[in-house]
Amino acid sequence: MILVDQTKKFKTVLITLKFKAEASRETFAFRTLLPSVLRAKTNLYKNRKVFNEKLEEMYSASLTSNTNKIGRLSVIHLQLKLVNPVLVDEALFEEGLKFMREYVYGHNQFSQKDFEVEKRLLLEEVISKENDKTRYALTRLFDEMCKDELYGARVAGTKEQIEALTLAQFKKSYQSFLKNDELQIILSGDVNEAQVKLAETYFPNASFNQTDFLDYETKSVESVTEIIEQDKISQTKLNIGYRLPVRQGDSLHTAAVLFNAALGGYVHSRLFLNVREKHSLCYYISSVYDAYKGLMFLYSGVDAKRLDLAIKVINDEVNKMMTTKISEKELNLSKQALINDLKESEDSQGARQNVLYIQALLNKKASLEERIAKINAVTPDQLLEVGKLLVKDTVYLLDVER
Amino acid sequence: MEKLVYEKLNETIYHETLDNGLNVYLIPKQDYHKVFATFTTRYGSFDQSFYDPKTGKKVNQPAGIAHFLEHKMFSMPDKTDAFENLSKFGVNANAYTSFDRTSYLFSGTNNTKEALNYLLDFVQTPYFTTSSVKKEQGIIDEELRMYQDYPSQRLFYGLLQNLYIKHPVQTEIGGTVASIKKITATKLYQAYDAFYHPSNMELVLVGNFDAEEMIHVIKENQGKKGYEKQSEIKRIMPKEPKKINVIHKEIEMSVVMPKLGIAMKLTPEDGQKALKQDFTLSILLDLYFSNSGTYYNDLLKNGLINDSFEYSTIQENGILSIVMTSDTNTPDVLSAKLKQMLLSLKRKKLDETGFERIKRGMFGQFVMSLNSLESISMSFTKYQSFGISMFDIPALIDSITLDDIKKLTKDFNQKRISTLFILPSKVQNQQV
Repeated sequence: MILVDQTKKFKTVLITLKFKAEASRETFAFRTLLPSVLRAKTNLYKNRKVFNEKLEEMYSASLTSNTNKIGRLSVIHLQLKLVNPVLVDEALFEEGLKFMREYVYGHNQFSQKDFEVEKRLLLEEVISKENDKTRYALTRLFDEMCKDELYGARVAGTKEQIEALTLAQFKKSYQSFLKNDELQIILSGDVNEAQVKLAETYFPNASFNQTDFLDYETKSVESVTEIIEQDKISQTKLNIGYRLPVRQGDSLHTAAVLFNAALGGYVHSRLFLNVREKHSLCYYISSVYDAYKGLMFLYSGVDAKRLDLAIKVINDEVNKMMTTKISEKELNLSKQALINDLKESEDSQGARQNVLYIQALLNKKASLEERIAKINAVTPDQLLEVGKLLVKDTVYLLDVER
Repeated sequence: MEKLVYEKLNETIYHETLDNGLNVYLIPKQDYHKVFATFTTRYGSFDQSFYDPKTGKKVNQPAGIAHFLEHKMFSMPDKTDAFENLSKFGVNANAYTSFDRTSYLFSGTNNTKEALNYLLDFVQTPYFTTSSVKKEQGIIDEELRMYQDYPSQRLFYGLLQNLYIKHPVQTEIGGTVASIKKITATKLYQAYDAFYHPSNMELVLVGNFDAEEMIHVIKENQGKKGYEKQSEIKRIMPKEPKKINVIHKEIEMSVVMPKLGIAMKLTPEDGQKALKQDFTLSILLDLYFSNSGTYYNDLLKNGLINDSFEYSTIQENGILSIVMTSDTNTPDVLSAKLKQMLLSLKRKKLDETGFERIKRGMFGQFVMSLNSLESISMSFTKYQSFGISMFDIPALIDSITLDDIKKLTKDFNQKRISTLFILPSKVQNQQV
């Protein structure tokens, strides 16, 4: 099955391959490294240079990739962005298909040297990410909060896992990837029937099986875990994780999305207005809701000198959301912002494609109008219901050296 | 309204210069939901010295005043904040100051007419008081100090400071902790009156709207404000010598891996020629340093660079240079290698196939950029200041020849290359 987003709105055509498999700690490093090793060399393009020359020849087609976890799935996303062939050269579309097939499947062998280069690059990237303290502090929150759950694992693999990966293992994993990963194709842009058919002939293996991919792993929280660590930094990172047992498809799902929006999703949200604007206690503060997993977390960079006050104000704001009903007026601000985001994402080809894919995974189709109607139907009572389900799990503090 | 149609690219622009001198450009895209509006003055961090259009007298202002003014524009006489007021319409507001311009912008899918009126109104309502200037000095001071902790920012400005002696490009857009202390409400009004006159500004709208309806809204808004004609502002730019300031510098910061920056100063042309020169230079760099380039692939294979490697050209009024940066364990080796590679371009026989391939790729990238309303709006404003429409850029790129590249490389000079290392502060002896 090929998903198609037929539209003349954009000046580009996207050919996207999504490879999905059940996520497991053991394969994260391999799956992150795979897209880069594949582009170092193929049967047809003997080295990285000629591979990239081919992309330039196709009017600077851009090839992007990433490996992500969606619920319990690990999805490798490979995307070729072409200038709409109608604008430059009709043959470009098929050239793109051929190129993507070669990129994924044209590998009779892998060279040790290329493998080592890619491994080094990935390692250096992982290390430099650790230097980003905001990101580091968030990973540490999940390390602690979801210690015994898949969610706690680093999606890119750990330094140790990457270092330990050998070419022999890589080759074996590649074979298993070819055999076991399910491929879904998404075409987006000014594409016609004939081109969709053509894509089917290039990728006859594309298929799609519906599974429940939501992550139900959880734990019962007896008491709040508090972790304090120190580093040579100038502002304290304060992150708090909560369990919120509402997932995609649950009746309270949209209410949970709005709960998060009102608490810390936007600049009009309570955390931003109170912690940042009113009390000037932090540089950034935001909350995020993960509906595939059923948790919510907030992260902030706090003035180290006024940490205690910041903790108090944040806790007060969260408690208020859990115990007191929000006004219609305030809720409407979040509804408006969310609807604006939905509409704006319709203006992005990549975002539309993502929506299409997630809807396929969930086996749910909803038009923009239907999604907007769902948001508008949420009531303040439902937000309070969501609030009552929120359970504080872990506080992670990366503090300045005092 | 003047209507321009670019058939090949399927784009239409409407343009009108209002009675008060404001240039309005409208690019309707009915199949989008969003509207993206930018209200821009040609006033940036470069514009520190000028002749006051009213008195004709020479004015010298402190570094960072354009950025300071941008911050202060959001304070309204009724003590409200224009940023918050705009957000109430359900749109996302922002502003930024660059070397040569200041832009105020918003994007949104609702209440766009109301938001547009408000955008015009708040930017045309200056309100500066001694106490609010003082408060802002504290905030910007904090911001400037924060930037000092960003390695990439230090690397960028550090290289510019190495290269340039007199040109204002060597001061940060925000100015310095010392220079912003000299800013007063009077100086802000003086800058505002000179540079925020509609004849020095332009309004660009891209997205879901009707052009006729929008120009009506804009004219009605502007007609009420009673601006009088103002003559063109004469800016004073110091003359920059050809030579560079410093050949090499090292600083220590909290980084995991050393960072290398290398830059070469070139001789810039003026106006549209400068733009062409910049594209020519980009083609040359792409040929050797993009991921299809021989030099890039050599550096990668030899473990001298990683994915953080970046190169770019800096092209501004009176400025042209090449800047390259990368994280590397061996900054000494890499800098020697890059120096050698850059200078070798003087003697290289250029590969014609590659040249055509890169040009084709540039065209592709240009077309792709038209997907984004933000990028259309930003590029449009940028190129307009060179007196060229962004939709004429493909033709400009197409006109570049191998000879243009050869001519440009004659200007490459070993004496005008500078390097900057950022070394991890804990390590005493860097291993090379």
